[in-house]
Amino acid sequence: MKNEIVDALSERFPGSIRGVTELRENLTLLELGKEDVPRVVEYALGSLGGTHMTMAGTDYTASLDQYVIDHVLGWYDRGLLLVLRTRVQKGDESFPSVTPLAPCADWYEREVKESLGLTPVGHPNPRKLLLSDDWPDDLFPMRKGFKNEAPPPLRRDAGFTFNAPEDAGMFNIVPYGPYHFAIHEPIYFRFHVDGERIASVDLRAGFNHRGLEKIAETRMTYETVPFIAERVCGICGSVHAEAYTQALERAAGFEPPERAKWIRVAILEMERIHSHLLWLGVASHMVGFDSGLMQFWRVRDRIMFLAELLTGNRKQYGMIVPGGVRRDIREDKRETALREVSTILREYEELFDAALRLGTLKARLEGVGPLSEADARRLSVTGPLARASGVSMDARRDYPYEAYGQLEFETPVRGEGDVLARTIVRAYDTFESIKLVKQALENLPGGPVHAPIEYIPPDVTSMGLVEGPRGTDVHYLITGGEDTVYRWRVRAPTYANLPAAPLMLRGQTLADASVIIGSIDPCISCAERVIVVDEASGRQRLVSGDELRGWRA
Amino acid sequence: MSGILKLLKIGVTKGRVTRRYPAERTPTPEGLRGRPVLDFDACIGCGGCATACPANALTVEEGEKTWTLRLFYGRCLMCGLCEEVCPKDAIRLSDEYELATTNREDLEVELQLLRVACSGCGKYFTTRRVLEETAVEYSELAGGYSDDFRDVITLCPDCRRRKWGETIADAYREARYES
Amino acid sequence: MSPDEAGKAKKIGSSPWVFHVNTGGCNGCDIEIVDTLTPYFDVERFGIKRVSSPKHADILLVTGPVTRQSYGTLMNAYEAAPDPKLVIAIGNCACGGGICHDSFTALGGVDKAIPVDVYVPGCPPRPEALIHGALLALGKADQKITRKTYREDDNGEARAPV
Repeated sequence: MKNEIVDALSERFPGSIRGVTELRENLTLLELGKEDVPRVVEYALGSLGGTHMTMAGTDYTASLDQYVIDHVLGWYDRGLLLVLRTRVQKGDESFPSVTPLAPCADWYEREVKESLGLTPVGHPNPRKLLLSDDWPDDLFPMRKGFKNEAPPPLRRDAGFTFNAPEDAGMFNIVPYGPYHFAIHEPIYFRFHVDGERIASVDLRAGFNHRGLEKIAETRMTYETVPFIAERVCGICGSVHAEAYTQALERAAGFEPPERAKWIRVAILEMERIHSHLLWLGVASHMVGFDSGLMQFWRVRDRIMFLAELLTGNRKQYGMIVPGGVRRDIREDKRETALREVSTILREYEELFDAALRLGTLKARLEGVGPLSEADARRLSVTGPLARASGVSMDARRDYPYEAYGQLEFETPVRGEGDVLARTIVRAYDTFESIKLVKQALENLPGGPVHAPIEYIPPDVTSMGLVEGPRGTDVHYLITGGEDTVYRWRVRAPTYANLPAAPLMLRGQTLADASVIIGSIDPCISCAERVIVVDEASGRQRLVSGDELRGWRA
Repeated sequence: MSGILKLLKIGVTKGRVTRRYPAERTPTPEGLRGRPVLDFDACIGCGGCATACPANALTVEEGEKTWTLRLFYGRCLMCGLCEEVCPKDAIRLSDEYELATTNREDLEVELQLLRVACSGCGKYFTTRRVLEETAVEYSELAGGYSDDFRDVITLCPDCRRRKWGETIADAYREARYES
Repeated sequence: MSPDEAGKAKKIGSSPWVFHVNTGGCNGCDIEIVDTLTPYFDVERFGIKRVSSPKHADILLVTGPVTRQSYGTLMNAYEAAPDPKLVIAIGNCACGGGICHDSFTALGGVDKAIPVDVYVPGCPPRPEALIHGALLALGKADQKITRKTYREDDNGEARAPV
């Protein structure tokens, strides 16, 4: 059973697989030549039904005169992970692109190109992804030799080439970005619109690329990386800290103490609750239901106060570190927490019941921004976005970690694939989360909450998978010597989900654009302020977000 | 009951939850991680906090005769690693969170300690307080503040290594002549 | 508060309109800013209103370490906001670069791009701290911390006879 996938691949591509290594139970590494990778990935994702998890490029030119590119594929139904490793020699920095055969590799290859200088040959669209537009094309920050000594000159107006459809002349262009009313980072969408209907979409991300992976490789140690991991995202920070810690502990073959595992579950689920309530509030605001924003966030603040009581801070808890957790939960605080969780459940139930009876809310969300199951699988999207389109995937259930194997919970799945389905999936996710926090706190085992990790071997490839509120967060780690990581690659779930935005927006109305983009629950901001250009007259008109929300199809 | 009426009912029954900040001091839970406070008398100048700090909010500048610790609240994550690491409890997280200032200098705390010179080569090698602390800790092992003890402990690591090397060499020579 | 800032605060008076600029942070501070609008903190009782265009703003709330990509939009927003205006840097990344102060792709703090009137550190700062910062900018609250320096005295008492 374990090697069914490997066997199928060996049978289909005899001679292509140069080596098979069992890194760990259910984590297998296959060595491939770079010419073979595109077809193998296509077959694995298409015929064998895998999901693309992440891809990372690492600079080994100092020791091995080569770069290593790893594609990581997963099979949720079998709990398997497969690493497809290929090497690019120094002096011949190019490799055949996987994107024409498997579109979900699009963004990863663009990133490898701009940060390491490895060219994906045949990539349809190799523009900059995360680095700023004024960053020189021949400076590669993720190479080990890059030192941040002399920053390149800053330019305010370096342009980005947006893609346009062939008949672009017929459409008006609506730049949609980069500031939003609430939260999140900026992102810049450009819509080609025909009246009110969106014909095509392109987007420019990278506004809050801060180079955290590079900082972790150079300045941080194993103990301090969780603190920078937490700050990858201010909403789902613990998910990143947990994924990194999981990857590191697995590399060391270390099992944290039982009590630490249960406390970690409680923290992660509390974060899920706060994140979903946040989203429900913001989604309500986007469709004009401001009472929903205020009420959902009122309930959400109770979780924040609880987090402050248990961890010392409302956000960025600083709790999950390699070895266990940093603070124990004292008995009186545990009882307060249980009471609070019951209150939150009651208030949330009340609110949920009221909100879903609102006919206008349903009307705004039903049938909007659809994503078919086939598209969801093809793009390897994850989390509630995938589950609302009928793809059942949940890392807590399929790749069990911490104490989830001993807990009871369900994973809601819907088939309609529209914004209403995503709302319902997240709403039921919240109920399950509350149930999980209760179970975790009620059944906390005794014992220590932290144990020292004796030894972390260098040069170990390891993976950490955590189901965050937005989907599966995948951390890829190669341990280094001297207490530092050699390569740490964070793949947040939004990275996999955002490329689905152009698909979901096509044919929809401009007024629904915010809620569609918002329904991905992106860890980046959608813009609210929009400039409408009337191509005929050339006049520009500033449209405020409130006006935009008032437009009806 | 329709959705709107239910919402109205929720709004009315919950009433007002607003915290009357700043008219009233809002409750701070026990264990809130606020800004770290330095105890200037307790700090010995070991630099452990600066090594542990993930955000480089605590930095050490080693001059020739002075050792300066700077804490910049503008970068402090209030994670508490410095508190965990400090051997003298000289830095502790308080529960103060109102840290807004109109200029950057007000966010800085500076602590300057004196360094001592090696009794052998005259090079400044550690802070006076670290030396005193080491003396206190090891004087018992050494049987008190004898002259020999003082001679050794005021040597910089290089001179101490040299002295230890000479001691071994002497012992070796003696052993050879004896046999 | 410097006389210059006091003058600006006086002209702005009460009920300022704020525009929020995110220059590439993690969103923690941004969410706490939105949280101040929600029932537990309700910053609108001070008349503070969020606007969707910098041209209507009296106060710019800036978060994030100013990534290279967002530098242009920050400068556009700053220049679009009419004088007198106040700039409040919220959160560690905005005050001094935070944990990513030495990133190759971020400037390391808002004051590296535009002049800052009030710094509100924290990671993320509590909503009460944000309200305190806003009121400080308007001259309606006092600063609670000041710079502290300590120099060891050469003639101080030795702790051990060495």
